Amino acid sequence: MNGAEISSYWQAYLDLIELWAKGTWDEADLALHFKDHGQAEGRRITHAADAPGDWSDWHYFKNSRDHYQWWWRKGVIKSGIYAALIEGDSAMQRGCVSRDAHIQKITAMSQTALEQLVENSQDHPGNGPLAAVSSENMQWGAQKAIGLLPLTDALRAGFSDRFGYVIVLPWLESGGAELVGLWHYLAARELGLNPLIVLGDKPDVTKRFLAHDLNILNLPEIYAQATGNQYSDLIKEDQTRVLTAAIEVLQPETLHLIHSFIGYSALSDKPLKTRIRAACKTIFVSAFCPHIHAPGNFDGYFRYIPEIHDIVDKFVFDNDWYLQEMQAMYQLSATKTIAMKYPIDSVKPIKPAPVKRPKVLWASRFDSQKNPQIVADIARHLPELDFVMYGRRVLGDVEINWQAMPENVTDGGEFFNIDALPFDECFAFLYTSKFDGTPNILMEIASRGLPIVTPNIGGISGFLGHDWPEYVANPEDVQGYVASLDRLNKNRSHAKKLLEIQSRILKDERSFKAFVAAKSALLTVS
Amino acid sequence: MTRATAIVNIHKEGLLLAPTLNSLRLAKTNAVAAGYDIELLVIADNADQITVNVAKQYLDVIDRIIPVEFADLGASREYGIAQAQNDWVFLHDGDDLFSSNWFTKFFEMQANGEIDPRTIYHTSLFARFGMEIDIRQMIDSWDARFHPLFLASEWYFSNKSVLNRKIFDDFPMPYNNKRIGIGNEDWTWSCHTINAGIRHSYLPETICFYRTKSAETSLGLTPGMIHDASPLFDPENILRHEIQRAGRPERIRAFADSMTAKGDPVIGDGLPPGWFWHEVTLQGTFESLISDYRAVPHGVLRCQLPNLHYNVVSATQFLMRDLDERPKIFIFATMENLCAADKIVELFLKAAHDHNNQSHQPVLVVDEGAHVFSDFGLMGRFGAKIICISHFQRFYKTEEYYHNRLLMRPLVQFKGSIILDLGSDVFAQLFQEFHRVFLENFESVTAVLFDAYQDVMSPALNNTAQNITLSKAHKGRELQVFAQPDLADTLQQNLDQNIQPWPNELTDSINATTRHRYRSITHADGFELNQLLAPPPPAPVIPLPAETFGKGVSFQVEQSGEVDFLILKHSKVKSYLYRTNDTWMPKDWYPEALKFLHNNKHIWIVPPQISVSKNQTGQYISRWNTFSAPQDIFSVWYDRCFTGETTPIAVITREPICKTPPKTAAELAKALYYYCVDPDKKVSTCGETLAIATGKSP
Repeated sequence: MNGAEISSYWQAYLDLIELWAKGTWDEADLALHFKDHGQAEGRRITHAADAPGDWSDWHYFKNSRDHYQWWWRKGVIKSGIYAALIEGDSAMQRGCVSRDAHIQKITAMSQTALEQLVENSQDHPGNGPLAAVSSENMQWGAQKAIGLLPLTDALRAGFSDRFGYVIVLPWLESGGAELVGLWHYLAARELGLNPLIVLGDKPDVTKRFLAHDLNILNLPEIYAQATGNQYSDLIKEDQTRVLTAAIEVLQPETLHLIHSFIGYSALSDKPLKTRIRAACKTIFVSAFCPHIHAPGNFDGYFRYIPEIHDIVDKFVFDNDWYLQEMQAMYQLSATKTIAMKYPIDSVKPIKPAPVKRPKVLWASRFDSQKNPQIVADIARHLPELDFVMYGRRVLGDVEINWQAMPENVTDGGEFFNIDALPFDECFAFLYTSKFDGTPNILMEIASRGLPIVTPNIGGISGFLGHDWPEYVANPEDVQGYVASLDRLNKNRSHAKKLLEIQSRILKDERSFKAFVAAKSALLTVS
Repeated sequence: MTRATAIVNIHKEGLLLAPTLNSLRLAKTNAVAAGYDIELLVIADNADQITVNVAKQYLDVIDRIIPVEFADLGASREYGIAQAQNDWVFLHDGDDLFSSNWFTKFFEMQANGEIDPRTIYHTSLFARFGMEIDIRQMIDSWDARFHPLFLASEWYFSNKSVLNRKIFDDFPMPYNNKRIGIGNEDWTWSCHTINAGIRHSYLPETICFYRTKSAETSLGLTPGMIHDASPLFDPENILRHEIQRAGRPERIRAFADSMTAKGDPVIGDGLPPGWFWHEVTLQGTFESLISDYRAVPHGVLRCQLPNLHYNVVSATQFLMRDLDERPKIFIFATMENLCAADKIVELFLKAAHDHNNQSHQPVLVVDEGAHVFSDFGLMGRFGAKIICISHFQRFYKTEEYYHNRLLMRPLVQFKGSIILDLGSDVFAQLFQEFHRVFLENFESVTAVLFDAYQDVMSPALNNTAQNITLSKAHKGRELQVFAQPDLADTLQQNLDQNIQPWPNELTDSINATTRHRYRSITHADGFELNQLLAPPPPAPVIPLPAETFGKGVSFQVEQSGEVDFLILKHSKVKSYLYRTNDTWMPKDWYPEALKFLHNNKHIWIVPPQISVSKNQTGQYISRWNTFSAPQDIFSVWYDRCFTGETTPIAVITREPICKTPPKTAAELAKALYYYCVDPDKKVSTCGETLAIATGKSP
């Protein structure tokens, strides 16, 4: 018997371990014991080589608080494998990592898979999944695809043209941002750039936009068709990956981002912004005036400017006031910013119809920003006038109590088209907003031939100029509104003069032709 | 008239510098309008062009922009202070905003004789905005509620302050060194100054709006950094401060007494005052994120005092108590991770006690488990200081977020000491966070393993292996590792690290205290620590064994890189292996997959059955691959290449799947996807094979 065999003999039996540990017997005594007694008693010589590859003493003794463990803990025996081999399968099961029921349970893996985990752990001590299992259960994940490959296949098939001007919008509903996007689209088409609108957030397109025969890449819809999954079910990060993949397929000459949350999120993500930059020659980004919430905090997409300015060629604002605000806030250079004057759809002044009582038109959102409640105070001061208010609650941050309104104020209901408003019955338009950029409604009202009373806020002077006679001092200036409306009611020649100024502004500054020229200049410079 | 200089340290703030300078411009304009004079200096330390361009837009208020290349905030601040034309200096960073009265308030108080040149003045409120939003009410270091040892666990006083620069003559500004993990220079500096009796106070009704950013972009949140040693934590100073505090005339408020329960009310909380909201309006025009304070529901936003954890004081006193002036030998052990732990720990304490004629004091940091230590006994026999972790944690009620930092305090205080780890959990936990501090600031850091063989469930081995991985990633001074000779060879190959075998004397000592511990006569009773501390001999370059793919399989490497591409030949049949280089496959899979492919002519690709990927936080995630529709799985593999999750990819194919071998994981997944457009290209696994991502830990 050699030394290893003797060792594997005495370490399998507690009584012999004790004799060896105390130095009472040495190897020769133990060898003699086997020869004289052990063999006859049926004791065996075990072989360490019989130990499976995933044997673990640490695991074995964690579950076996017996006398062997005591000797092992004291450092007298180096391993429990000899005793386990003698004890048979139940003991072996406790020391083989892959056969341990608890490990199988917390990993949800079969013995075959666990054997490989152990092999991995032997190759990479301390760093594989098995090392992590000691602190937490192994996670199993679903095979959830984003679907980038089928999506890009579908995009290549459906949008193989070379698009010179790609506009990323959130959707095409009824907001000012969509209108701005439309004007850029129409101008790009006029300039022969083969434009495309990409809807980055939601698939919604209203009839108003369908009428324009636009080339639209409805990303949520195409995504659903290509993958069978809903775009809205993706997390935001995956939506940004989808949008980025789409831009990479399109490889546009110019990318213009307008108010798409997913677009801004993609542009502010480090890896994605690098890919988007590489896919486009020029990047424009539009931002409009901030939104002031009822408690007084304000936000908007302008907050992304510090994160994205390094890859943006031009920030396109809708008025000089806001451009200057942004320049002051972030010191954006003049070469990186531009304010554009957006055109008006059509100029169609409505002839006034005979009315019993003079009427003032108010049309906007019934939200805190638009300050609709103040109309009640104005109307109380002007009982000789009627006020008709059109609009709907969007943000729900203000409640109008129509019961408490003066009798000369009526609720006109919602409106979806400017031409649904009763221009022929009214002699003036009242605008009471607390903050704004360049409100499109004012240009549309001017195009239908009503003189405007408004505070000079935000970018309004970019439309009406700094010297507009019917500016009130501030959005809460009830007396100012009253005086202006009274003046327009009593002095119709003054009203006519204002209409002439409005008409001239629309013609000179807000024509589509002028916008196309400005856009052409922008593209040339960029 | 008192004049002052405002210093703004800038680096790569980009456009975010503009709100800061807009804010300081307003503060300066107000001060000038009130008849005061203030110089504004911008110190641009390795600043990028965008940041410099922004600064240049403010030449109406900036007196000088000085470019420097220290790449260190402490150094560039020190330089700016030296460049100032005035002794009174205001210190700022390039992305915070300050209340419009910040300069004026100082000048007014100065004019009233209320400013002390040996006091450092901060803002009254420290309002965090951005990623986190809250308000801290500054506490005066002379406030009876404040205890200097709070600074062991928490950063109370930033360098955004105004002070007389003569203070820097006595207390130079420490530097920040990311490489060695010693930083938080303002934290260290406040320890130094407070220890010397310099007062940190605040100017009433002033605010610093502090921008909170992700750890990745915030110097203050750089992981693994710790504030430096300070006389504040010297045991004799700790005692001195305690005596001084006891002798102070102010009445100590209840919750700051020497005996206190946690959770006592913090006096001083309150709703933000009107002047705070006034400044939110003003500064909100410069930085809209500041207006977000208004979105916090009424009553929720409060001006909170910093944490006043008196248990931290007691815990720090315990940690530092009994430490003499000698350098230390820190011994880390987890009793549960060792066999014969009691004897081994004593063996090492004895070696530490005897080292170089008692030149060092042993400090035992131990997860005691079920053991009860006689600290008096160990102090008597070995002169050792004992820190039992479980007892420490339970008794001092240390909280998780500062526990490690607190335990590091005696170590940092005795930089240059010797560190010995016996595969302990506590060392692995500290090393995980502060490995740069350990590797670069101590005489030696040595791990000793006692395992007999490579047992995958051995906690000591796993701890040490993880520490080795971190040490290698640091690419600086290395962790020295000793193991039993047989294990050393195995580990050396598997960890690609120089593992030294135990010296013979240590082997004898270990055997004497373990295997032969019950014998009446043992022949070794100790070992010389020097054997473990000598620099390791240069490691022989042992080439890693060449990869093999099974018996009878020859191979030819066609491409190696992010994607390895090999031609495998078995029984004269060629097959093709595509594998990302961070994919681990079991060795048996290769010959099995080749055989499977050979025996199943309708199969064209053999992938693994289970993919174990690793996400950005280092978590492993297993996924079962079903190849009835192989494009679906390959599509998922492709997508995951863009999510930051490392997916293991390895396949053996019957023919090349594309003309040019893919270079990236995404290209490989994409090539597999398009290859399987042909429905005849069937895909099947052979057996329940695992592919495991070996991507680096975060």
